Amino acid sequence: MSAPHPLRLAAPAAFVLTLLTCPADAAQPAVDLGSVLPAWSALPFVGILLSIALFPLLSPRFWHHHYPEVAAFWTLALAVPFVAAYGRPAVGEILHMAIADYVPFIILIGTLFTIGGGILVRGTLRGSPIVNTTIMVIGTVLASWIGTTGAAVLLIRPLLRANRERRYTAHTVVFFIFLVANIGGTLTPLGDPPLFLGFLHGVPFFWPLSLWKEMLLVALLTLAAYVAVDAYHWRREDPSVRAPRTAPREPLRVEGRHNFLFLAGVLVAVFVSGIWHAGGVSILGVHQEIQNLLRDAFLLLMAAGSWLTTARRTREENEYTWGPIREVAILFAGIFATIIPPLLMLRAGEHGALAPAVRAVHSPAAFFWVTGGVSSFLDNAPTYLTFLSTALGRLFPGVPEREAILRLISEQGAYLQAIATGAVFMGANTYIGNAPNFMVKSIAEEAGVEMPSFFGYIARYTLPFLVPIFLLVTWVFFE
Amino acid sequence: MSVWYEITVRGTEDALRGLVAACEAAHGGKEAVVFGHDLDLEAGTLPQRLLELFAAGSHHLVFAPAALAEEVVAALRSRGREAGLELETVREVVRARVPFSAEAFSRDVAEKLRQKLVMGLPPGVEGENLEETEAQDPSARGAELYTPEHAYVYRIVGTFVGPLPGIIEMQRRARNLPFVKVKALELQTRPLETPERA
Repeated sequence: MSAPHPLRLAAPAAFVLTLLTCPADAAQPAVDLGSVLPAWSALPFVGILLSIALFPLLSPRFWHHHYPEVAAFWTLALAVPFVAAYGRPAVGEILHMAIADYVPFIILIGTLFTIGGGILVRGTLRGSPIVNTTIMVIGTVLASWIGTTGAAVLLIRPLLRANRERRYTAHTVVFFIFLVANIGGTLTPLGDPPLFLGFLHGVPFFWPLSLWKEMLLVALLTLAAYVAVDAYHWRREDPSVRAPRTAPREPLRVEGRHNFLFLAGVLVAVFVSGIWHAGGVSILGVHQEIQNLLRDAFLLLMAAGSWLTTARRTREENEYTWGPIREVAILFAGIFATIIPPLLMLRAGEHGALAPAVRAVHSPAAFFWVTGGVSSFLDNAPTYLTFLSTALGRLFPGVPEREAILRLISEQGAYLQAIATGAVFMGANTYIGNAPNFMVKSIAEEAGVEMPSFFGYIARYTLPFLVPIFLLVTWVFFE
Repeated sequence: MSVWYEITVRGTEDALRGLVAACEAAHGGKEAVVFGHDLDLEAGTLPQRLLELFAAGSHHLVFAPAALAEEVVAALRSRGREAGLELETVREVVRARVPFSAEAFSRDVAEKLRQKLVMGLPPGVEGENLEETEAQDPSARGAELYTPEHAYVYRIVGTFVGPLPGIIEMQRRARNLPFVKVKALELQTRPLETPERA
């Protein structure tokens, strides 16, 4: 592997540069930036999200090789004028985002991916409707505890192997994307990146569990739809495929089982960091809780433990590489940098340049559909943060974020429920709504499954199956 | 190899299918007529597309090998009127072609496509302007979240050309394969020198 091009490091380097050069008191903003930033300062944020959404569809080869340069471009397009115009307050905001959000986020995602990549399911299964449904249920339940990406990586290859002899398999992969790669990740901050970002911003660890009713309704209806569709396609399969198998089967077994212990360690560490208050320290002027720093160190320990104790062959058969972690690190450096102005403006409510946007979305149902609609096409993690800030700006303008979030939960809980479920559920609407979707599609295609096109996915699956379910969710929970 | 004919008939499809079934039975059931509705045919020129649009359902194309076509034409002339059927034209099918393309992302599937699309073609069928490419990108190996790219890509594009039954077989074969896109069947026909008989 050749040395990385300098531009590829620019996005995370923008953060590192500020860490090394800014004075200790740079993180004390002297002005309310949210009320003075112009609306066009959100353009780099829009630009990077659109790049992440559109380049894989329009120019996947270019994007695969040059996404770091694109991320660097948008990061610098924000960072340079932002710091030049506002000086120390701007540097303070960037530092705060880097230390309080970016670093913990990358550590969690990297840890979950490393541990999940060390678990391999072997064995011969038969892709009957019962087996497929069982795998879907297991994946949906697991997703909240090991992450949607981890659950998808763990189960997609066994599912594809089980269906190897079937002619009609694309629908199974699509519903896997619905259930395991999206809906299943609703119940804990580990389940889906938006929920972890909410946790980092002050949403209590167990709060997502309160979404169990919404998740149960959506998961059960989606599963029921899948059972009906798979049963239909099973009847169309060749009789030799449907006949009971007589050949000896390889027994089902899980390699790298000890990694579930590391996952348990991650869960405990994140949970404890939410309830234990060990005091705070200042890192380059950014207040950071000690328990969060200990959590992040512990997570790195879990990742290292998984790496050192898992057989290399297991990871090779999972096609584990550092690529996805590198992607997340580089792209989210750009996302976290460029999201600063829109978040500040939205939180400023009526006093910010995005006041029309704050006023435009005004009910839980509206937040559900607008957050979900945007999450369908732009990554759902920054979308969640954006609309959380919109809600805070509308309902509690000027209130410090952590206090505002707690008040949001206690006084206007339906808004956060709508934003969280909109972001998590509707990441399933398209291939680009959530990170694992494209990954699952790609793995399926390499296994010989012809997947629907981008618009085919929406027309044949999202519109007839998911949208009616989401309309029902709106009526039951948000009207 | 038998010559095939395109027969244009005006009337109801049910009546035509009934007449054709009787001709096939009388012919010993050894050969079968192919209905245009059962094929994905290219619409052709603008007048032909307009005719299809405004006369949809009233005009039908059937294709048959020479001996069977002769019987169908004779049956239409002798008893077509009482079934509400009218023979419009008879043309000889000179050549058929169907463009296709495919893109696969594993060597297993690529080999399967090669076996079905390049080797073992029906008699008289050739692959015209066939272009096969393979691209490999080791940096794309493994799962990717935001920058999905396949480590191996096999592409093939071309056109199958040959007698109608062989091209129909290739269109059917290609449609049953994953990752293959097949276009409409294109026919090259010419009027008969003696249009009174097939």
